[in-house]
Amino acid sequence: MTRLGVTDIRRFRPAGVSGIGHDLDAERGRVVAALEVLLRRRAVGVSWSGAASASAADRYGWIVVRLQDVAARIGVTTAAVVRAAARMQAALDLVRRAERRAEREGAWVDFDGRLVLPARPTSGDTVLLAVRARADELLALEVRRTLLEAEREADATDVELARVIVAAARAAVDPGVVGLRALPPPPASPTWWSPGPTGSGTELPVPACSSSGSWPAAVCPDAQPSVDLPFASAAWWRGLIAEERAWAIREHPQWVGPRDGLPARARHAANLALLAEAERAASVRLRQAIAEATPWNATERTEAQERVDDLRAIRDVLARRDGVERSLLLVDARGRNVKAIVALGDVDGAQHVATFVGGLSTTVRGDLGRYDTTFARMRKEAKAVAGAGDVAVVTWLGYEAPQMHEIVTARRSVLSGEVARDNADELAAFANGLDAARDRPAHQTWWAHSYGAVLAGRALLLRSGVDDVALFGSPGEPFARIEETGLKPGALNVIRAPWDLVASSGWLVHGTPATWVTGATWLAATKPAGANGWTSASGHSDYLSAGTVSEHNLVAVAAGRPDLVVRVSHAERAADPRWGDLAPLL
Amino acid sequence: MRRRVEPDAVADDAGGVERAGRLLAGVRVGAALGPLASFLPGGQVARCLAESRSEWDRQVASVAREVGALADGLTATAAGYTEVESVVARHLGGHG
Repeated sequence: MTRLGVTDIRRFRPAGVSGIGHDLDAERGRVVAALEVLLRRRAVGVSWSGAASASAADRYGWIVVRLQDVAARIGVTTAAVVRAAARMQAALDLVRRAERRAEREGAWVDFDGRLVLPARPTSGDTVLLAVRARADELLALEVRRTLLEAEREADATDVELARVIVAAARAAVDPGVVGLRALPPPPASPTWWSPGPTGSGTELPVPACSSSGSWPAAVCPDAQPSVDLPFASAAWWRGLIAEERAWAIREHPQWVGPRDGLPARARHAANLALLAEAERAASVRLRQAIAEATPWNATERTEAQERVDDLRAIRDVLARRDGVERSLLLVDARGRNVKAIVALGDVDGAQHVATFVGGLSTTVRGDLGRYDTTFARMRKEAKAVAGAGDVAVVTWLGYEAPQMHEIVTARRSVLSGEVARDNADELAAFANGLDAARDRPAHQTWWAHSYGAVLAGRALLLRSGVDDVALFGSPGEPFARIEETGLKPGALNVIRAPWDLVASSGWLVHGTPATWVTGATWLAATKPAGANGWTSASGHSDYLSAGTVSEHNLVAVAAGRPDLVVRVSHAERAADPRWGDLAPLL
Repeated sequence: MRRRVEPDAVADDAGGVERAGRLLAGVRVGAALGPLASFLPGGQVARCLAESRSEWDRQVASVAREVGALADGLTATAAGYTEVESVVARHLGGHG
């Protein structure tokens, strides 16, 4: 093995090596941009079905995995190069230090690292001569030791970098041996992170086109609305090496936890940290509100207690030990009410994923536990009819649902579509993120109840990866024909129970009654004549009850079994007046 | 077997995949690594660099070819279905 000497170290150009790190990062950015384009393309690839389409989907998945691997290995190489640049600089600094040490004694270090002493007086005071000789010996020793350390550092750097470069190129990399460097920030973050020369970060303004963080604007795809952001996020995550991912979760959980497009396991880990942080803040706020209790801060005390209750409800659900895997995909305590998304089952791997969207007066503290219990049961039923494929169910409380006391609040009233309009992109982005995080998209269903159906209706007007939708107890939709939604024939399902006054009258303020949408499939809530084993759902809040026909239909849609649904009877359809169940009252 | 095809949408997919292929065609990992030999001379890095660079070029080209093949496949799919549609329409009296 050739050892590097001082001569070689003097030829080191660490700034140039650092520049190579930046160039490699730009190359990784190009791969990530290509990955992003493919992920986005794949998600809209519902335009074709059949055996050949399945083969194309497999090919998509295979290429995505390969590109992810290439991007990660470029990342490993980049990390090793940037680290090597710092270590090369350290070796050079040691040589300079030896030179300065020699200069202080009137000596010098030549190009090859030999210490050259000046001619010293050979006569005179013998004591002084002895002192001089001893000082020169110490000088030689120190210079030699320093230069040896420089050579050792240079050698180790060279060997390590060579090993990583070869391994990364041969797809046999072990990222664990590579020192972590600053990683590119996630797309559309408020600032982008640029590694300084010593690895410390500097915050820079966001460039005009920064969908892929610090990667070059030249490779940025078109500007993206928020529903497309998950594809950029998925590409960013796939381009990180394992250490960078772990670091992002540990140091920047807010980058990971709420970010659609990232795997559930990563989001869950980050959200646990964010949940703990929110719990601490909520606890402090409540203690403070109680300590300062006056007749005038009753509202603050109530809100502080509700915040604690919201977070406790999440903690309680996650603590359930019923053999079902749960993932916390969002905890957002920035608003008046906490937002949360909890998944039952493996959303990254299950063939079918159903996402429930709650409606009027839904809150985390009041409803999450109840929904979790209900959906654990419905998931089990869906798995039983889905055949070989697994099923996951998500409770999506990812928006602040309108509350009863807000009915006279202009922008928050359940009588207005504003809350739905403002949050529709969050639901569409969530669906896109689920697909983008996976190697192959899932069969996705939305179960949308009450005002949640208004929100889902708005989301259907956006680009999303949802395949089937079941709107139940919908007060009205912002479209009149299925063509406006981009759903395939048979994918838009509507359920309306007798005496559901919200579904009967909501269209007065929310648009077309869901049962009137051309192309929608109307599913039964009433037990068909002669059918045994089911009960009828009635009113606005009975659709999910165990054993009802509506529950059976929701399960069948989510399991991808349209052959099992029970359609509304012709008699019931023919008897549907525009005024629904309100007719006798008017 | 029941099939559902939207040839225009498949053609759009092909266009998107082609775009990804163009981005990959611009990836130059080997070239980016090239100057390492002169910035860190005399050691193992300098000796192994040529092999690593060519390995990177080979792999990137390989995955770019795969992407190109997918784009070609999608393009052929869209064209094939469109052709079948127009041939059948022509044979049955030009009502297509």
